[in-house]
Amino acid sequence: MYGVKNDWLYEPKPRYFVLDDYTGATPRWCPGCGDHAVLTSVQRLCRDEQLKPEETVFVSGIGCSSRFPHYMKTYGFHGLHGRALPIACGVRSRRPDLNVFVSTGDGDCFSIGTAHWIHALRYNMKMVVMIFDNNIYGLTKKQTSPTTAKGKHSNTHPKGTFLSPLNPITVTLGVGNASFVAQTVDWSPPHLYATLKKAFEHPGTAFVRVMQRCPHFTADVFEPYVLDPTRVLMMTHENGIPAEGAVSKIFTNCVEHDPSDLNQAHSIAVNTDVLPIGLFYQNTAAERYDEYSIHGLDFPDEQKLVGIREELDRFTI
Amino acid sequence: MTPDAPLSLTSSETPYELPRLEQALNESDLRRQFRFFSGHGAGDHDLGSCLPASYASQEFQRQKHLGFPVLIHGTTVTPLSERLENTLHGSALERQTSYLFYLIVKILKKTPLIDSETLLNECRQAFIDEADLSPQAQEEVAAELAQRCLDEELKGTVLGLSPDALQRLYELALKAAKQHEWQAFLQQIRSLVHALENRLKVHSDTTASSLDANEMGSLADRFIKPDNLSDKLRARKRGSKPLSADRLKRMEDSLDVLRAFLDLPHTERVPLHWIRVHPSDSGSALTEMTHATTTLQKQVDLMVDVFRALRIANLELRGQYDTDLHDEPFTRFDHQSLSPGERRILPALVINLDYAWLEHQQHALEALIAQQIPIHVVAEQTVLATGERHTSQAYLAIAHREAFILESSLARPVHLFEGLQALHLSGRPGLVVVSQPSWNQGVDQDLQLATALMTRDTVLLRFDPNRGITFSRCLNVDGNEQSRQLHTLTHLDLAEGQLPCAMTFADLAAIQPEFHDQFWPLSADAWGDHQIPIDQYLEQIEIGNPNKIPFIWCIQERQIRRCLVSQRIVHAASRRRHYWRTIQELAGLDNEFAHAAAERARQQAESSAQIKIESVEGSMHEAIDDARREATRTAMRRLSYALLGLELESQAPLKAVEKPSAPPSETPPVERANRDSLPEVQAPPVETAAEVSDIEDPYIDSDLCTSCNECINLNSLLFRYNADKQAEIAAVESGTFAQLVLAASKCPARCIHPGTPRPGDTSATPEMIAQAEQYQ
Repeated sequence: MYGVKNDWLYEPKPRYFVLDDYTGATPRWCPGCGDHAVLTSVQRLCRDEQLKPEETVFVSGIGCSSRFPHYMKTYGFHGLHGRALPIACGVRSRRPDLNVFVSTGDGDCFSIGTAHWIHALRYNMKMVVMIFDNNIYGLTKKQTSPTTAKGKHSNTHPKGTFLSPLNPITVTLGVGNASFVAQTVDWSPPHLYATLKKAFEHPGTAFVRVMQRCPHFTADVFEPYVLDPTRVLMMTHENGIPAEGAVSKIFTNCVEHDPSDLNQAHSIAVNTDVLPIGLFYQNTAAERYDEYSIHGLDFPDEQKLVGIREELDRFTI
Repeated sequence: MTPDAPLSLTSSETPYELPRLEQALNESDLRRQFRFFSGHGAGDHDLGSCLPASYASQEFQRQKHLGFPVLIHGTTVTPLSERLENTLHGSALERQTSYLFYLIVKILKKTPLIDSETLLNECRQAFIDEADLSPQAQEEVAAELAQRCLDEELKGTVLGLSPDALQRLYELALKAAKQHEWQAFLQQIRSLVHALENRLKVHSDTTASSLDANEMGSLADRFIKPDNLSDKLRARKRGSKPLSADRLKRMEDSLDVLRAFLDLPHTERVPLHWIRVHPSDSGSALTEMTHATTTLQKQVDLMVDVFRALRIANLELRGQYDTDLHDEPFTRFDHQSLSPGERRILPALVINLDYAWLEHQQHALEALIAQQIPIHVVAEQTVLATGERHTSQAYLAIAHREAFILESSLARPVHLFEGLQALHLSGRPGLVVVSQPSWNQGVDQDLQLATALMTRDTVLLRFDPNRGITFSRCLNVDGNEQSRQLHTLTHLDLAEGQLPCAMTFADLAAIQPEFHDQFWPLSADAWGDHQIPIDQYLEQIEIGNPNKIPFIWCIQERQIRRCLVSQRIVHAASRRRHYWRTIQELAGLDNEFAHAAAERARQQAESSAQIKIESVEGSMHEAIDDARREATRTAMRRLSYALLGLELESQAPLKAVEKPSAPPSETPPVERANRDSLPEVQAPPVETAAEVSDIEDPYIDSDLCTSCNECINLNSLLFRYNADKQAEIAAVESGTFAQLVLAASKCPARCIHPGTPRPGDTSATPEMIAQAEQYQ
């Protein structure tokens, strides 16, 4: 029979990736840190989606959360404080073939990177943005972050935080072109995984706030929610995050919420008595800046050079 | 000789005086339709103005719609008549469809391949010119036609029936099947050439031997230019190591081959090398064929070189070329090494010859197929060119099992076109046998083709070895008329009712002048029971001599007649019938094995049903007998009680009490008493069992694990991660209860449940057990 002698020379065999293919350095997070759970869920997501490690990039800023790229055996970009999102947007606009993930924290994103946060949401480029919100600056040892609860004692406010915390969900929902807003918790790996999976499938920027326990500085903040699951309000809907098996048994306090209903999303987000988890809002039809920015990527160098010269010639005196 | 006596079919023994036929050719409707049917010869046994009756049937008339001309649009091909009827349906011109069609065929006679828009414009002009219309009517017709001509359904290219229709159809099928893939292939080569050039340029830049001031200057100049700079950066990314001598040579060689290929003329379209093999005075048929094969083999070798260069270039650019691994396979790289995908890209290489010739080329054809050289042999089989003999080269070629075989007819351009497309995509050597009309004969070409198809002289068949290894998968006989029947059955409408006429080879022979003396028309007074239709005759001679005379139904001067058929024709028809039966069997249309299996299954089902029925009947009879006996017994008892004067009711309760008491007496009362009296003695083992089952095994709610490594760091033999990197218990015996409790206390997800200590675990102090309680 013909055609079998040398086929393997030309057609490379397909690869199958397992968890180890995504496992980088050993994590140096504290024991009991919620980041471990996020890391495992992300690695599982990569494996289940069979993302090629060489076509996946994790971008981060500064903070505990931002150590994330070191622990993944993919490409990574450990950026400047607060600047994870603009770097990710840059990667996405020049290399639309890559899978882009951003890991950033509450201090990194909501404080020093606020401007980028708003505009990255507006650009709505395809990427998954994971905010590891532990309500504190953990890496620099207990300073007040924008989401630190009022009255919490910290090194910057030894007598208790003075201001009420920022509500990142309502802010995000307020940005005109935000297309995917979800919240989840690190102590429920199935829900965390389902949320990340849904976020990965979203065509634009998927904003996922992960409520993440810091065992050293904010253990008391999340303890009540862990011990009493009824204080967590789970949003369910056929278009939302699927709640199956253990998740539906643990979080019994549920509300039916359609992710296309922005008004109800607002009213759920402002209620601080409970901790809402699930998908607040999704709009797959929102405009995407990366659809526009890919124009000209395929131009050869000569053509680009001609274009640049033409533009520069306009300014000849 | 009496009519019942056995008869043979030689004309000298035919017992009837055959009527002399009229030679005058009247212009009847039927004759106008088949205007070619001129009388041939003037002997006693001449068919004259007779026509096979089956030609007047509706089934036969329908055939003409399926042939040429065809409309080709993209990868689809449709008979034009069908489209035209659809488009004109409901318009003012609907009744003129046949006339328009006639005009179209006329135009196509002049230019067989034409764009549909031009064709319809010309047709419109011809219609207006030829029809005697008022100026206003002319305008209306022109407007109506112009509007219909714009119809999307009529877009495309129209191909009419002509001697080179086959070649044109082959080219169109090639374009439809391969053009896209070919363009992609060219693009791939261009990008490879570009990449190779870049790589070699980087190499020459980095190995500049002497750097004098001038060169430095020019280099600096080059560096400053942004496009050069980007080349440099690209080079650095891949490692700017200079290439070794043999790598350089390999890349340069590949580049040369690929460039030379791109420089060949007409590379934009899929190349087609069509060699027509003619019988020549000088060389024998065999040498002609060998010569053509050698010419085409060169084209294959050229492509093999290109593919080798392409593979080497790909490997080199990725830096994966391994001398130990790849040198040897590349030195013996030939056309058999090509992958199926590469074979599909090969240009079309065709040897075109006459079918009669092919019969003498068996050896060359076998060599082609055996060596898997992807050359297509296209044989044109003229209807009845071989006389009544019947050979099937296609059937012989199927025996090789490796080649794509297509047997088709110009009467079915759709079947032919689709078959050719499949052939182009198969990447295998192919044999195409196409039935063609005889162009020089006076007989209408459409009629020749349609008759050959209806009489099973031409069989539509496609054998694609890519589909599997069994006949049922590879062999496709779709498109044959009434393929489940042995003969095509037509019906002729007569005043008395419908007359069924099965079409056999005799119907085909009847329109061929050279066979006219093989038929004897009979007038109605010569008909008798000893004459039977030829299809029945063929059926009967398979069993034994039927002692009958075969005939076919004919029409003469609007009268139905019987036409006796000679032994020669019967033999020819029998041969074709046999061939078609074989193909039916192979294609699974009418498989005797399947029939036998079905029959066996039916018999089995019937017999098992019979057994069941019998057993049900038997039990029913038994039950009836029982009931009858019981009734008799009861009646007798009642009678005897009545006679003896006893109370009937007093007996019944006694029986009822007796019956229930019988079954429970399995254990003797003594044993039961013993068991009741010794509960304390038997209790301890029961309790032990309860204690054993009370031991709760430790477990982890793995779904909730956050993979924090705490438990694993504590004892990696006791705990381990599952496939989702979530913790589970590996082996309980590898750790202590204390470790389980410690791990549970450290677990941030609270998903470790230590259970209860195993017997003999010394670490299980009462404090530990108490602590473990909160993690259960």
